[in-house]
Amino acid sequence: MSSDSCATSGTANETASSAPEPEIGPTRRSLLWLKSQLLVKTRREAKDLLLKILFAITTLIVILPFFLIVIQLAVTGLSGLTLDLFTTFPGASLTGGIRNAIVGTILLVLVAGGVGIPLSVLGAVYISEYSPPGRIRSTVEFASDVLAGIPSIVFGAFGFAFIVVFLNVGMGLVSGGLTLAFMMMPTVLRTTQEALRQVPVSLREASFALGATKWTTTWRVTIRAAFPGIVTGVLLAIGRVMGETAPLIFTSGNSLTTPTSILGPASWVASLPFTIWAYVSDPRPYLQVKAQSTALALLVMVLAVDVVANYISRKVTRRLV
Amino acid sequence: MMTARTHQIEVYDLSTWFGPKAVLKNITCHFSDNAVTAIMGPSGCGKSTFLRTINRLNDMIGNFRMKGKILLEGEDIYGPQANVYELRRKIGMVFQRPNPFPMSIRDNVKYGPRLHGVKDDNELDPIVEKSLKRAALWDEVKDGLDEPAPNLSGGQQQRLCIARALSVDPPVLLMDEPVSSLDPISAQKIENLIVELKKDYTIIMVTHNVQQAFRVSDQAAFLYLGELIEFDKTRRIAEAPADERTEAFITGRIG
Amino acid sequence: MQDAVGKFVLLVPAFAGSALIILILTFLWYEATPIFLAPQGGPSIVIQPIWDPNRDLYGIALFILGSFICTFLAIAMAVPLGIGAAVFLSEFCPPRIRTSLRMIVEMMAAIPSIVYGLWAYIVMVPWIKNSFAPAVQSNPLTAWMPWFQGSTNGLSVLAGGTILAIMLLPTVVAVSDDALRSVPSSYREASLALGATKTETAVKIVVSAAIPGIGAAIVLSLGRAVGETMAVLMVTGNSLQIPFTLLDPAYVMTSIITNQLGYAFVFPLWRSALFAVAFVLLMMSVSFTVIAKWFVKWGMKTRGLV
Repeated sequence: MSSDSCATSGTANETASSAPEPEIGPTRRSLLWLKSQLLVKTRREAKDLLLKILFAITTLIVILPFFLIVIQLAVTGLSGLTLDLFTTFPGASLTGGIRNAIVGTILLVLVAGGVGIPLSVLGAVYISEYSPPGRIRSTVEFASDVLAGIPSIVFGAFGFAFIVVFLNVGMGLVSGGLTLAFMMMPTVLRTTQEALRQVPVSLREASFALGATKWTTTWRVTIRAAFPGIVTGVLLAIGRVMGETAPLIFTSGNSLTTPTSILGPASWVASLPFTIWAYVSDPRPYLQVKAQSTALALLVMVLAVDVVANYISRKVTRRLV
Repeated sequence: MMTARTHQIEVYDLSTWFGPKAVLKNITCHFSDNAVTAIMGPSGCGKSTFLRTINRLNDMIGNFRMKGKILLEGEDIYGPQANVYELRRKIGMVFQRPNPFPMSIRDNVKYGPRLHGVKDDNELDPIVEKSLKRAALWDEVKDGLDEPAPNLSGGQQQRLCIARALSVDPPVLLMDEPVSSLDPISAQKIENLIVELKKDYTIIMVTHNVQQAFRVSDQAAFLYLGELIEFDKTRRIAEAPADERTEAFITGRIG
Repeated sequence: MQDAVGKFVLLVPAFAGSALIILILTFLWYEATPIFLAPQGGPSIVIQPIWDPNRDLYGIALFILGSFICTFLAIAMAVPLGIGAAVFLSEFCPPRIRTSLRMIVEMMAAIPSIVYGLWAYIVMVPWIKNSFAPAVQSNPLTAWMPWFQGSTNGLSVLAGGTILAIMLLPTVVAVSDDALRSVPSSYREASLALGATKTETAVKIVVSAAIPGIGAAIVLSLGRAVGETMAVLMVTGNSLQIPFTLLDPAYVMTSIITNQLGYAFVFPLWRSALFAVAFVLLMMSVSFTVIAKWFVKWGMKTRGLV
């Protein structure tokens, strides 16, 4: 053993046998990390570093549009985002607010959720609690994957052909809401199924061991445990349909006020995305600006729903892990 | 063995930490060439950490720190001049669970040599054959080299992993409980293989199975709570452990 | 008793999705039948290029071509960028930055397509018209390129393809990132222990092990690209012509339905032709879903993972 290693051994001895070595601070740690990343000695290491930088740049390019969009809407749209915009109905020449669209979007989401959420949650309960893995389950899963892939305009065309014309419901709140409900179903079904799957079997067994029936166990224990996951799925689905335009063009009609009836022309309803489209298709310059204010409002609403959904799901995963 | 570099791997006063937690404490030992050294100890004693420090696989873990020296052929592997990729070529590793890549058997073995600059199939094919033969797998797979490796049985997968490690011709081979996840017959085959391989390689094997350590190894180390309690000829430890903790472990009172 | 009733009651919602798919298929087919039976129609409309409702000519080949070109452009841009970003997120990114980047990606996925369309219409289209086109057409390095020829008002397949790519990116990134992260870390360790660098490990082992998941992500985004409506509608120019260059406008399948179904309502053949387009879209999206599932299964099998 060389004298050199004897010397190091002495210091190491002290540190190791006494208190653990003090942690280095986060700044110094980051600097050391950066230094170790940039240290290049061979060609292979150079290639490694170069590719890492390339991957990092790619990531920046990918997220760049998000900031470009938010900045554009904020710069042009923010000035129009007044309280009046939300509280007044459109006036002559489409001046005034977008209260019709905000109320309309909320009503459409309520109808869509009222129909779509129970259907898909119950469907998910059936396939994950009642049906054995097999043909029935894979059929239902396959169906919801296919539904999730169907383009929104196809839902729009179908809603028009089936609900508006064939069932003779006519355009309006009901037709628009039902079409959106169809679009919600696959998302809610799949996330609910996933949430139910994550409930440990032991929890169900504990309930059965107390003499509970399957029905009681499902409703009192399993669904309760899966509830946050289900809420996440529902919120994600709501966030998605809130921004849908294409399914509504031929089903919801449009209106400058809020609907006063369930059916008939009085039930025609405006929505935020449809309003943006109407404004941007209009040559009047002030409507171009207003389209951006409306888009900013829609964006904030959608992102808020999305952030809440992600927050809940993250909290749940942390609790389960 | 005339130079000062008697040992390919020498460890001097090695201490390691994960965050504030000390995992290894002042370990000094020399691993004999062309021999099997077994590192024994109860779970959580730092055996695996020790092994993974020798090929710097712990570097990837954010809060890992170490002090002391590990010399490979006289060079400090944590020194400023060390080339970690070349180091890992020289020190092969076999893991606890067989982990063949999800590709064909042939591509599994070719992967290592390709990394280190062998591109030509005329050179690669003999390497594949030689490595698989050394790992005693050739006869079983020579007709299905293009089959997906995960289709092999567990024992075959582990021998493929040994072949993969041998493909880059490392003088040292680290094995982290290489048979603990296998059935007894496959385990037996691999134990025999290890004894066969020590003629050409310096093997360091982690195990928590005392009987296996006694069967296979020439040297043995006993680690307990991060400290190296004993390091000696296996036979000597088996017959007369110097420390009572070693004795407690090999007689099964702690573990 | 209660359990049996429960099971029976739940059977109805469980099959609501399947029933809905059958309903959609039936109704689109029912609405599309007239054009397929008409003398000037028939299945050959998918290869006939002339769409002129005034003359009762309803060839939909132009729209299929337009959708194909925009989708191709979008995929060509989104896939390499998306996989690159996913590799960065899953293999190289420090955990703290990773969380925020993933959050931005999730938020990008949540932005409604009308907002993407609005931004593309207000920012990207004028930029292509005023900056991009003059720049590439005056630069001797690019001016000769056939795909940069012609005058443009910005409404073009380039604008459509680019905004589609931006919209696909979050899906490609998120699904690929999940696929990469589900690759067991024992593969990474085995590769590093053989002396591979981190990027060699990422590219040769992790990406290749995650190919089934990444492939599924690509096929799914193909489906989304073909079916995307509002954003493409607003920026591709909706002109009945074959786009020969990137700066030419085009007309895609989703746009013709959106633009004309309202007017076509009372003309049986016209309306039927639009439903035929919707039917083709539906068939495409169903096949993409099937292909994506098949792709995952195939990948798992060839890798011996099932």
